[in-house]
Amino acid sequence: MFESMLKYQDQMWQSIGETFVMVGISIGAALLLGLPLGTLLYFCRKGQLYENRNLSLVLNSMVNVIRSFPFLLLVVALIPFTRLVVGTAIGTLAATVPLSIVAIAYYSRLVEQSLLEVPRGTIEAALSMGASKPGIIFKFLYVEARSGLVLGLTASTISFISFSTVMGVVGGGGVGDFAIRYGYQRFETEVMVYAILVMIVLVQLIQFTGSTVARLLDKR
Amino acid sequence: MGRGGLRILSLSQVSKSFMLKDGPYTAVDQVSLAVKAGAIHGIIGASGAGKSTLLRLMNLLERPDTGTVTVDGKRLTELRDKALREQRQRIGMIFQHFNLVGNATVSRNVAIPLELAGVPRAGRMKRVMECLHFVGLADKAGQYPAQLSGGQRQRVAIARALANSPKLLLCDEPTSALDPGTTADILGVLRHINASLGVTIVIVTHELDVVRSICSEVSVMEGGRIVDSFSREEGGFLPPGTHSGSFRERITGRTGEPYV
Ligand SMILES: Nc1ncnc2c1ncn2[C@@H]1O[C@H](COP(=O)(O)OP(=O)(O)OP(=O)(O)O)[C@@H](O)[C@H]1O
Ligand SMILES: [Mg+2]
Repeated sequence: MFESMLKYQDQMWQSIGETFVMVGISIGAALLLGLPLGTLLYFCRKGQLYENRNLSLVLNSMVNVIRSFPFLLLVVALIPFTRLVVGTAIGTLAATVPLSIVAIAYYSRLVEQSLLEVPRGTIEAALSMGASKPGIIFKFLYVEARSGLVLGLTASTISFISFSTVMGVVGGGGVGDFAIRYGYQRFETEVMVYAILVMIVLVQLIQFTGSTVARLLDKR
Repeated sequence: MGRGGLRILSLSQVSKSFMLKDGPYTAVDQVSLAVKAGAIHGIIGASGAGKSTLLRLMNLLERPDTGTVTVDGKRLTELRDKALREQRQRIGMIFQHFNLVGNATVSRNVAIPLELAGVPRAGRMKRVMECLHFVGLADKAGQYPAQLSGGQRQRVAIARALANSPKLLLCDEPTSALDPGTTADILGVLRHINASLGVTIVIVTHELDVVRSICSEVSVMEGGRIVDSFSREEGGFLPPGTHSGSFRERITGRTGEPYV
C-alpha cells in the first residue's frame, strides 16, 4: 500500500492544498457574506424587528434556488459569472466561485436558524436599553447565538468539502478529484482508499473541533 | 394623581391596538395616567387586561396609535430613533424572565447598557461594581447567569437596569417566576432603590401581596382601561393575606367611590 502512496505523494499533497484553498475561501465567503445575509433573513422575517415581506421573499427565493440547484449544474451555469470574476472558468481559483456562492446561501440559512433560537425577551431587553441595530446584533444576538453559529459553520464546512470533491470537472483539483483520477480511473484502489481516508480524517477533525468550540462557548 | 408632586411620567389619552385575524383588538384604550417622582406605582388587573402593553408604552417599546407619553419632561412620542434610544437608556426595565445575556458574565451583563450609552471603559468597571454591590452580588461578577438562582438573576437584571442611573424603573411581573421568600428579597431591593436612590418605580403584577407590600399607589386595569386607582396615603393597605371583593377592597379593605 505504501508504494502506491509514495508514487503519488506529490500529487496527493497538492490535492490536499487545493481542497484547503477551495474550502478556505468558501468559509471566508460564508463568514463575510453569509453571516450578514443570514442576519438580514432573520430581521426581515414576519414578526421580527425589521419585518419586510418583499425583501424577505426575494432573499428567501435566492437562497432556496441556489440551495436546490444540482451542484454540478450550478457550476456550469455560473461559468460566465466565474469568468467575469476571476478571468477564467478553469482551475482551483475558478472553482471557488460557485463553491463560495453555495457557501453563502448554505450558511446564511443556518445563521438565520441560530438567531431564531435567541429568546424574544433578550431582544426586548436590548431595545429597552436603547440599543442601536449594531448594538442588538453584536452585543446580544451574536453573543447568545454564538455556539449555534459555530456549529452551523462546522456543518457548512463539511458540506463545502463534499461539494469541493466534484470540482475536478472545471479543473479545480482537490482530494476528491485526486481519488477519482489516480485511484478510480487508474484502477489503483489503494490510492483511492487512501484519499478517502484523508477526507474522513479531515471531516472528523473539523466536526470534533467545531463541537468542542461550540460547547466551550455555550455558557447558557 | 399628581397632587402638586413633580410628574416623572405621564400618559395622555394613550391607545394601542393590535391587528388580529378577526380585526383590530384594542389592548390599551384611551388611558391617561400620571406618576409622581418617587412613587412606587402598581398596575394590577386580570390576565389580558393590557398591563404589559401599558408598561411597554411607557418606554415606547410599543408605539401608541394615539396619545402622548412624557417621561421626565421629554415627550417620547415626538422623538425619532436616535433621540428615543438615548431616552430609553435613562429608563430601566426588568422582566419576569430576567432576559439576561446567558453567554455573558454577570459583570458584562451590567456593562452592556454602559457600553451602549458610550461610557468610557474605565468608568464602566467602576460603575458595574457599584451596581453589583448595591444588589449584593459583587462576589458573583465573574459568573454566568446559568450558575445563579432565580432571585440572583433578577438582582443582576436590576443592577443592569440601574447601570445608567435611571430616574424611572419599569417592572413587568418581576417576582412572578420566584418563590415567596425570593419575592420578598427582590421587593426589598426595589424598595431600597426607591428609598435610597429616589428611583420612581412602575410595577406590573397580578400578585396583590406585591402591591400591598411596596406600592404607594395603584391603578387597576380591565379591558385596556384603568378602571380604579387609589393610594396608600388614603388610609393604608391591608397586610398580606386573602381577602375578597374588588381589587380595591382586597388591597385597602375599603370600598371606594366609583372611579370616573
Ligand atoms: N404584539 C401583540 N400582538 C397581538 N396582540 C397582542 C400583542 N401584545 C398584546 N396583545 C394582546 O393584548 C391584550 C393585552 O395583553 P397584555 O400582555 O398587555 O396583557 P397583561 O395584562 O399583561 O396580561 P398578563 O397578566 O397575562 O401578562 C391581550 O389580549 C394580548 O393578547
Ligand atoms: Mg403581562
